[in-house]
Amino acid sequence: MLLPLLTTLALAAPEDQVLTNAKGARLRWASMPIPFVADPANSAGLDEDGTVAAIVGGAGAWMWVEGSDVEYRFRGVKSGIQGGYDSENVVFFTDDWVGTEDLLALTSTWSDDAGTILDFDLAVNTRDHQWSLDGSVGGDLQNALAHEFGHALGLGHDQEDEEATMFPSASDGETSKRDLGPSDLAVARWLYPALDADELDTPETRTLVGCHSAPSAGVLAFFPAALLVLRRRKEVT
Amino acid sequence: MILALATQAYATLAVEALDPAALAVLSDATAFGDVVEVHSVFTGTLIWTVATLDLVDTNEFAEVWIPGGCVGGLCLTISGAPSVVRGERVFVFLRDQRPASLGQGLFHVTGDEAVRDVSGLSFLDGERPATSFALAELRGAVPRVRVPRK
Repeated sequence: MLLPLLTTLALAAPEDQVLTNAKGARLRWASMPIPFVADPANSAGLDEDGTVAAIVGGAGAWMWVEGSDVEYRFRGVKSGIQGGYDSENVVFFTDDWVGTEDLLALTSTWSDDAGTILDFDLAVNTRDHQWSLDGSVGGDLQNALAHEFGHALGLGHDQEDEEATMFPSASDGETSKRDLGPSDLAVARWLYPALDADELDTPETRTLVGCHSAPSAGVLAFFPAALLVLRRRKEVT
Repeated sequence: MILALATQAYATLAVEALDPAALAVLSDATAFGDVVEVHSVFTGTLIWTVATLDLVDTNEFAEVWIPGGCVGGLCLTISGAPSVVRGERVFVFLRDQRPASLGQGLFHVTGDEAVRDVSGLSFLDGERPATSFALAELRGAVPRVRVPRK
């Protein structure tokens, strides 16, 4: 009796953690990969190579999740990014912050009425806040960006699991959100389920895997580096 | 004071928990009224939801610009931005006509109680703001905004 109840509670969480647009439709990308560019230029004094690494690392937190096909693809550095709806997904730093000074970063997600995500803009406030690449001063950039890239996928906050990357609280210098927690993984799998092993055996889906689907566990066996990434996660998958 | 504290927070829209007194510091005006009209506009870079308030205490209206909304089949979603519906009563701490600190600055008012939705905002370690306040506490914070009746 108790087990079914617990199972129900566990299953109820993922869909409650998905953002909705003003029409009430859940946000979701229709296909993978999600390309993005970044402008690492910043007034926070962050080394640009290290900044790019933090950005790619933030996106990378959501990749290679077994059972999910999330795939961000970094398309390189681009200067002069402003954001806005232009079908280009961007990450940039700005001193021309439009919000109040207490806001540190903002992810804008563009979608159609049905919730299919079309574009995201991830802006980091360097006018009012300090950032670092190692959590030593102010906010750890990669830690924050891993959270923001979750929003760019359509994920909202996990109000319960303090281990979650999508938990709506972070401390100064915290780096634990760089790696996904169990509930993050659950939502990623629910919102972006990967094809199962049986499906992967069909000729039709082999093409899909080659284009934009996350590899199954069987496929991962041929990529030791990917397995190392999986091992770093908080949950053994 | 606010700036010094704010450097510690981050994440989503990484914010710091602000009580009405702190919101007043962050704001240049407040508005208290009934939402009589809501529409969205696309300015070319952002979609805004514009709510017109019929102010409770004066024979005037005020516009509140909230980031996000849908126009012509295109929607912009910003986690942490508040939402309003026509017919409800709200109290808003404003900065340049926008809710200060997004969802923290807009309260849905029923009787003497004012409630805000901060579920889309991230906060400094362990600090989760109170969501329910007495309306009187909000109204005592700062002068109300005045916008001429159209």
